[in-house]
Amino acid sequence: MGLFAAVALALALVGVYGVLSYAVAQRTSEIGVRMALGATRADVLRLVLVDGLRMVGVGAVIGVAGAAVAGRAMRTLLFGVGAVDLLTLGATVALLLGAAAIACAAPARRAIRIDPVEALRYE
Amino acid sequence: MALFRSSPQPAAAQPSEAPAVDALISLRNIEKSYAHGASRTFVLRRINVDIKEGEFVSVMGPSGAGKSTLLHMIGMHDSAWTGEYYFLDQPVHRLGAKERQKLHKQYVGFVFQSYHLLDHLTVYENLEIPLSYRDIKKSERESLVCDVLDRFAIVGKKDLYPNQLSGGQQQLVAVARAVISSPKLILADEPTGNLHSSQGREIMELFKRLNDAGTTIIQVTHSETNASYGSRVIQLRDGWIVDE
Repeated sequence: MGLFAAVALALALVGVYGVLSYAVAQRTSEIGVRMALGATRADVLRLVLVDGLRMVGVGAVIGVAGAAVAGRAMRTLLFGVGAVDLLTLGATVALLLGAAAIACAAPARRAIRIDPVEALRYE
Repeated sequence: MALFRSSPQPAAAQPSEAPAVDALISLRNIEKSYAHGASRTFVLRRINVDIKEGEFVSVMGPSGAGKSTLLHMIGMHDSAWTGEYYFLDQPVHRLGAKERQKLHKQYVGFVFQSYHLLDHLTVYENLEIPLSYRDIKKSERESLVCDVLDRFAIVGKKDLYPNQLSGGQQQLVAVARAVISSPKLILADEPTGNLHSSQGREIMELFKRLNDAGTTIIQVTHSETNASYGSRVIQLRDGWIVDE
């Protein structure tokens, strides 16, 4: 079960990394415009990370709600653990958010290296 | 981009003259090139020019002459060049990235040919972007945006998105965005290139009014009509200034 959970987490992180990489690529021109209008690399980093973590946060909320519903539905099958174990849920969300921040790092680093002049030509 | 290929070692630069005393911008022996294997392709060659405060300068030349490259270099978007660049007597060539960004934010506004408004933001939000990167309080930002909306007579359009505006209206918003932080210098890269003639005329009249009020303007243009709004023309060819 532990291995199953680890694989599920890894797949989720690959998904986050893929979506965020795609989002950064789609926003190359926008990032170039923002830098031409005065955004620093720190501003660009914040823009990408906030968007990425917002997406993960929304997913976490939906996931926790889903886990709570599924837990209640399965409570007759559970032994030795509550249907809604707040500690487990909280630890899982914290782990996911932390790992997602790492998954966001590579696309964010790519974003801050964008050359504004090249980005402005990108369509 | 210039197709002019030079030998691997470019000719030695002339000893640099001191920047002109009353110039907003002084360029001395500015060069920009890209490496291609063992050779280099030069985009800008030994650019020497002074631009005084309050001038309205047009940079003209065939495609690939280096006009937009020069504009982006002056606007400090591009730092991969050699030579000396003085802006308000500050040696930009010796400044680090943060200092250049500070100068650029404080003094320069840019207008693009393709407007480059952000499609997912309203007109109001697009105008607010440059202010949000300048440590200005929200209440003051609101006041500045409202002032510019009024000045450019686009108050009624503040909640519209760029795709709800005509090309001329989008460029008007782009010019408003460029002037909202009261820059000393506006750089315009073919600002009427995507507009029809009457819209282009309105934009050029607007630039003329801004210049009359004291803003220095440097525009890249292919149009002799647009160049006639200015006081000076710099001709570029293959990265060289061939006429001033």
